[in-house]
Amino acid sequence: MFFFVVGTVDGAGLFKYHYGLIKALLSIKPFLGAALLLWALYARKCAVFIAHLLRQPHYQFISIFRSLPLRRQYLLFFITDFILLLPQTFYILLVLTEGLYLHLFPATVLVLVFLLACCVLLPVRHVHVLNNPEKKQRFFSQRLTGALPRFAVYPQILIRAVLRTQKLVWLSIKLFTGALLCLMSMNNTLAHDDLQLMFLLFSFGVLANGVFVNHLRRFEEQYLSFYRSLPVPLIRRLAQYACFNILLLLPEAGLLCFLSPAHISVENALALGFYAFSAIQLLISISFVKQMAIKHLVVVLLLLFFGGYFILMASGVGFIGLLFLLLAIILFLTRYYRSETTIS
Amino acid sequence: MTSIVKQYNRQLILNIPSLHLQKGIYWLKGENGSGKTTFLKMAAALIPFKGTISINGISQKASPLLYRQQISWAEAEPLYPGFLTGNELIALYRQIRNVTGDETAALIRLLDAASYLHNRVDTYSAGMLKKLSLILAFTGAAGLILLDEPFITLDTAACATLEQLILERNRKNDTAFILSTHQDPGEHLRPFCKQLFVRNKTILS
Repeated sequence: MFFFVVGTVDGAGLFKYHYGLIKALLSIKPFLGAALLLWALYARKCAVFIAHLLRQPHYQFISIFRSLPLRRQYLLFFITDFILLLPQTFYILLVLTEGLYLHLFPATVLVLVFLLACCVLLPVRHVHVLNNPEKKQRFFSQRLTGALPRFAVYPQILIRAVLRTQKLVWLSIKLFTGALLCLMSMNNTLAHDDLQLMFLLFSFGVLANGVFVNHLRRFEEQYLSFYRSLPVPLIRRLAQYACFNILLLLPEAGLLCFLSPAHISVENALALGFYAFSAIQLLISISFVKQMAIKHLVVVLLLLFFGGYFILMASGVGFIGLLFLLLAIILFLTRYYRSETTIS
Repeated sequence: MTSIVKQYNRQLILNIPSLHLQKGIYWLKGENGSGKTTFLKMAAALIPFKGTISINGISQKASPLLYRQQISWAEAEPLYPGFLTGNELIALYRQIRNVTGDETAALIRLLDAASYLHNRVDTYSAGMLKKLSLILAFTGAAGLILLDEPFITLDTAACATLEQLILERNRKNDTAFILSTHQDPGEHLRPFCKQLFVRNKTILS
């Protein structure tokens, strides 16, 4: 669909366009990395789709296939996965063909290995799910909870909630923010950093986490409400949310470290990182003032967005971060125990 | 409790000018929607309210940490994140309340929950969830345990076990209990229960 929907671009024909695209994909490592990631996500989606179906009551009859030899089960799943991955496989074959033609062997081999891994491993996973319907893959075991310091257990639970219910939203926000940051800082040819524009777009991505924070808070109110009655000091609760915040922002932090000092000064990278942390901390604290419906949340996000930008015109990014953090701490300490789940 | 007022969207739910309870076991009664759960949640420091609630002179608002060290709570229809196991939740409570593994192991054995606590919570039946919530509520050395409909979804044997557990805790550790239940608390427990009534938006003893 992607291949035919794209059509012509800037007067180039369909094949000429994709020829150029594939050439760039094989030549530019970050582009290849991004493409492999997207293909992996697609393959994962297909894998999860089948695994989920196998666990549904309507499809319990498929368990009769357990009576077949493993090789036959593998073959059946191989055909199924091949059909599901056909669009991706078709495009990857084009990539491989062009890669061989252009003698871009390292990238071509990498793509080939990826394709073979998908084709070979996905059926293995599905055979395992068919024969072990009760087992579910767990990324965090009991031992991990026991081994974590007391402080980190609750943030770990929040992160797990994110990974289970909001991972696509999280990933989309990270990709958006990361792409903006990368493109703006790498293409910045001015003598000094054009921080205002970078801040504007970066803060847009950061504040987008607000929708995600709102959802997480609702999850907390529904499934973790008992935590408020437990004897945990308020400062520790604040620090736990800060820890969760830091874990959420690890991709941005990593990217800022990667981009500085070559594309963005260390000072500005630290200021942007600090701003991101304090903005999300403020959003968490605001959620304790009142849980909001989406439309009111959007109003708050816009206020923070424009407020931050106006303050930037008078002072620096560091000051905005400091102000947001101070507000976040004050709001949290005064509102945490007074908050209640009533949607505005 | 002094000058307790609780409203939801400007509708008065409870108005308790003054209520002083001695240590003991209290059976909280009232019609559906009268405010029993709201009362328990206020005492459990889960929801805000106007007024003062103190336990042994420690105010919930003035000393939130010390107050929470004295109370424990089990709700009527417990909800936990489905991806957690019972053991993980118990480990969380143990860490916060500084309780050893032996103490919780005894509770788990008593309520016959050992066979499923290693599984994820989203695989539990209502009765299994209730047992888990009771294990969590009894974890630690709280001076006051608040139980909202503790007997619902429990089988006969578990109800009898719970009765004995409440009596034993009250006798050995001088733990106070407030139970909100429409069911009879059992022939062994009933004689020890002092009754509280939620009527006309207040609590009467």
